[in-house]
Amino acid sequence: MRLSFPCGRIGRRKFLFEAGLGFFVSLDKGEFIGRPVLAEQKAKGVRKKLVAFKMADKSAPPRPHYPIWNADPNPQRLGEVVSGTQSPSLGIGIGLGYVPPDFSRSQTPIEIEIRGKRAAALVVPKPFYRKPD
Amino acid sequence: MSNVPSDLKYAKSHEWVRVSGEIATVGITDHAQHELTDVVFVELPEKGRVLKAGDACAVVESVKTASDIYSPVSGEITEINNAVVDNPALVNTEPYSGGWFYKIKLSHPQEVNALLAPAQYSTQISGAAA
Repeated sequence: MRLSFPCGRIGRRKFLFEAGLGFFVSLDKGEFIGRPVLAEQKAKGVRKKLVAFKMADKSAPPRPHYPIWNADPNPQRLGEVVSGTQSPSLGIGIGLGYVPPDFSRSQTPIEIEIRGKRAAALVVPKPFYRKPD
Repeated sequence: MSNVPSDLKYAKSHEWVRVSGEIATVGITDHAQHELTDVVFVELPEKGRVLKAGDACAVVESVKTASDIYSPVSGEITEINNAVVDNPALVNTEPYSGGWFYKIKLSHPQEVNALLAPAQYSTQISGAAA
């Protein structure tokens, strides 16, 4: 399965770098709406990045707008889920969400808040699943 | 057409109740599981928890949505179905047998009389489907 990119976010151009879609942005084609923000992001780096995550254990499926927390005794809210579901192929919950770049490395433990309780998850590389040969 | 067994009582919110003495078994109906589609997660109340009729006491999550389950009757939970926690698909495949949720010791047995009879529940869901 291929999860689509979160339309609501990338529909607004200023989030293109955060969604990892900088490849599609040309900053030298002249002025356009959102260019100043994108140029600043390219120069200084983004404040958050879109990552893929996989639940560590069996849990309720992650869903859009669920808060993402760090996996630390000092809770810090990192961002939120933009897209998520139960993967039939993997048999576990998967999703996409925005987190600060420090937490975007593969295998970073994070937590997804599901109806008031936090469940362990891991940042994973995309794609989530490759069909076995 | 959904299966509505004749030996059960039903809540408008799509839970079924099977009464045996002072113990009632609770689950969700065939119609409910069909509407939810594939159930992937079930969260049940703790054994020993005391419920009032209408209390939200369990959660069913399907690929489509998360749904609260309301206890149709009052009492104390005596047993929960761990098999359905381990294998939530039982809610889809055996809603009235292996997919039961919990057993409750009735504190107000007369509440069962206020629940829907099979024919009434069938009418409700055929109306909803129309």
